[in-house]
Amino acid sequence: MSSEFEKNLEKYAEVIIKVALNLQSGQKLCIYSPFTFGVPIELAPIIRLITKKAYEVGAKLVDVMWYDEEIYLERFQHAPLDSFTEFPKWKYDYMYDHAKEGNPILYILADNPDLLTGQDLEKLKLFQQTYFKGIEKIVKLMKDHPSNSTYIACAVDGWANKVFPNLQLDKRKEKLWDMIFEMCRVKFEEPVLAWQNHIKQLKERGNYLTKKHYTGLKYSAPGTNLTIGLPKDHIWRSGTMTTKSGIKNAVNVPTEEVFTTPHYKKTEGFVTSTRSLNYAGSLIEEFKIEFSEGKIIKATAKKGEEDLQNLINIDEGASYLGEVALVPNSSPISQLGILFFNSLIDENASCHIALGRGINYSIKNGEHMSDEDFIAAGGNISKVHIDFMIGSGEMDIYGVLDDGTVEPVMKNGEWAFEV
Amino acid sequence: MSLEFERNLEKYAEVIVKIGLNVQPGQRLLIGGPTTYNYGAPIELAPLVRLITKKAYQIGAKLVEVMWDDDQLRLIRFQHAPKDSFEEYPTWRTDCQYKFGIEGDSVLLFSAYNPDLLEGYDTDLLSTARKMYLKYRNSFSDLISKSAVNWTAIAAPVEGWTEKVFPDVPQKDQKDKFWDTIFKISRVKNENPIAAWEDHIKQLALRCKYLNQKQYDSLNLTGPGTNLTIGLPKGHIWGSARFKTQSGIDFVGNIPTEEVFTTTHKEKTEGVVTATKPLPTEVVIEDFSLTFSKGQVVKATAGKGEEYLHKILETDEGARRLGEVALVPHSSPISQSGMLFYNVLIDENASSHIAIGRGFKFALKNGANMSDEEFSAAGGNISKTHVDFMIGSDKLDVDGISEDGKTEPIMRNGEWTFKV
Repeated sequence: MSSEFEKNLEKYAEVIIKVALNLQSGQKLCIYSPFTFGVPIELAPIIRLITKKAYEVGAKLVDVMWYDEEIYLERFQHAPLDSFTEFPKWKYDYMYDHAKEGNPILYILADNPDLLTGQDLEKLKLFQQTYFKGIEKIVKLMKDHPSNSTYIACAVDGWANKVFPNLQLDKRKEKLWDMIFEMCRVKFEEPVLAWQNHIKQLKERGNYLTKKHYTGLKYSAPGTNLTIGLPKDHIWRSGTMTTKSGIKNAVNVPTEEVFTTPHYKKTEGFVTSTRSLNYAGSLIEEFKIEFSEGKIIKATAKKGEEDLQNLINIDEGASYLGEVALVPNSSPISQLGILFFNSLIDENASCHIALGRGINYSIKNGEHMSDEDFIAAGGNISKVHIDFMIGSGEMDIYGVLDDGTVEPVMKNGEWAFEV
Repeated sequence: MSLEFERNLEKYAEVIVKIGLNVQPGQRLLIGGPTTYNYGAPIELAPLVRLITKKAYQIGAKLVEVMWDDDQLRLIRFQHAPKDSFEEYPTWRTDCQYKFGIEGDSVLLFSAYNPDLLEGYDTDLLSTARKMYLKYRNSFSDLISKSAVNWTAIAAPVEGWTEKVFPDVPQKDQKDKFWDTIFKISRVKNENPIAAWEDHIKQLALRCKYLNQKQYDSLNLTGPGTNLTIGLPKGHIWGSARFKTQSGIDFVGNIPTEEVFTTTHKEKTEGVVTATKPLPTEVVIEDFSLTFSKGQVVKATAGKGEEYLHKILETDEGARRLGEVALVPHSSPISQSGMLFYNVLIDENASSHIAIGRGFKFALKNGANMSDEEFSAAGGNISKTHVDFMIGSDKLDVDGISEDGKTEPIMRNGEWTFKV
């Protein structure tokens, strides 16, 4: 590897510690990847850099839960069906206590999107059921942002092969790393400063939209004619959050979105996806969803329609919306013009909406609401939260004011207002 | 890597799964529970771990879980972490290991570490880290002592360790050379390793049978710098390679294994013993002697690492008393290699040894179900720790002393004196 790569990797580790985690002296850090129950062992070089920097800012303990792709596949190929009712509870019990005490989890998204393609569907279904049931408790805890946890992306072979199938084999991972450095502002002279400016911009856009008190948004684009109602007292948020103890961190790196929680009963019309959805091992392509009174009444897909139906039917809330997010088409990721098969990255290329769990802190006082109160305020409850991309350079979005008049929020995929 | 290597690695995985663990259909297998020197399975051993996983599923294992470890992260901790943070321990690792043990599943442990990894770092921090590990691991150690788990500890070459063991071999060949040695001492190079292991296990079992019938009251060990009497509890049981879990699964707890051993009486050791090999803990301890009175260490000196030796002896009350005595003939294959591995699992099978700390409940008649108090009352030693050290050589004589005071030779010049 070149010294240029080493330098960027080191700067990326710095962004992760200072911006993504904003790790504090005395905190413990746990490093993990969901779905695969651990971080790919091929990421050892960057994990070592992150660990070193974490201790340098005064972390008390850094521990990594690792994973190996071949061993994971071995299970799908050779383990008996009842193996898939097994769940690593010891990991989740530890992470639950860890996060509850205010310690961050660094989630690394480095999935090979094709990992489970072709595996036994019965095993996959059981695996997903077990997985969602197993993570319920921590998902509920994490919605209150008890600690400065964050999601980042790292390049691994399996993922790079999917994104750059036409590149020479030994160039793919290097290329994917380069893209990650690009979109995470690592190539700036001072990446941490660049991030502080970017975060401020997003915050101001959110404040503008919150003050407008729109009752809804109207979307128009090829294949899309959708109205999404917004709850009274909704708040537009962006990629930073503050823990109860006052630590402010970027919960996704990269992040380009400004988002809020929709009123779960007030979505009408139809919407067409503009990018593939990769979720828990299934790939769903070119899908169209139709809503009436907030609920999905029809869902079709060119590929993976059965997987889409399974996702929608995981529970009642999975067939209602839980998030609406705005991202300009000119965002760095969109400009790269590449489909990454990774929702953390792809959602920042495009406006998106999510099925499932709504966002409590996007309603005034929502973080203190019981599920019942949250539902009464228009929030959606579900075990899952599934983002999918709907934005493009041909999308117009209008805000609906209290009196029914509309004003532009985005035109041709770009912001229509100044801050 | 050569085809020959691939074939041997696969045979090694087979010995581990079938002879060592004897994984049962429907069992779960944890690969890489935490040990004193490994947090789990070293990530650089992924090729071996994958083969073990495959073999376990072929036998019908329900789930193979791997707990990985990167020793560089442990080094980084000692280099950069705040000095007051070493009481923190990633408890999910010990919780997971205990869960597999208590639910009757199988556990594979690694003794594969660079003995010099933490050389030169603050011994107070090393000692704190060791204490935390022992504290959280204690419940699993008790399961092992009660023979409740089909477990195995194995060795495999990792970076740092290979240089230490083969300093005179060109660097590019060190790892191959090490693997070859591991295959040899683990009987993997035999045409049929499984059959070779069955023979070996049978031989060792016959030695145990002989010693069990004798029911010696004590052993007397003499050699250069050593004149030690070790009391044995009534109803002690000599054990070797193969054990049975309480649920009836045969397993071999160490690969390689050459020893015949039993648990000692914690109050009946008298005299002085001098180690014949260094003790490869976090700090290497060399040229050391212990003096016992009424079972307790009353004096401990070392040419190197004396301070750390004292720290180990201060772990708890039981750390000052013996928990194990093991006999290994000087002509054993590992011993004949003439090498020092700086690794307890291998070195202890090159040499007769004794251990301070925890004794073995399963090595006492009806001991497996005893509480700590009952075991202690029967003469067994209780401690969080268990540290083996080597005392064998071609100059060691061992005698068995019966209750009536009659003395019989067991070993002369490091070799067995009785035929089986």
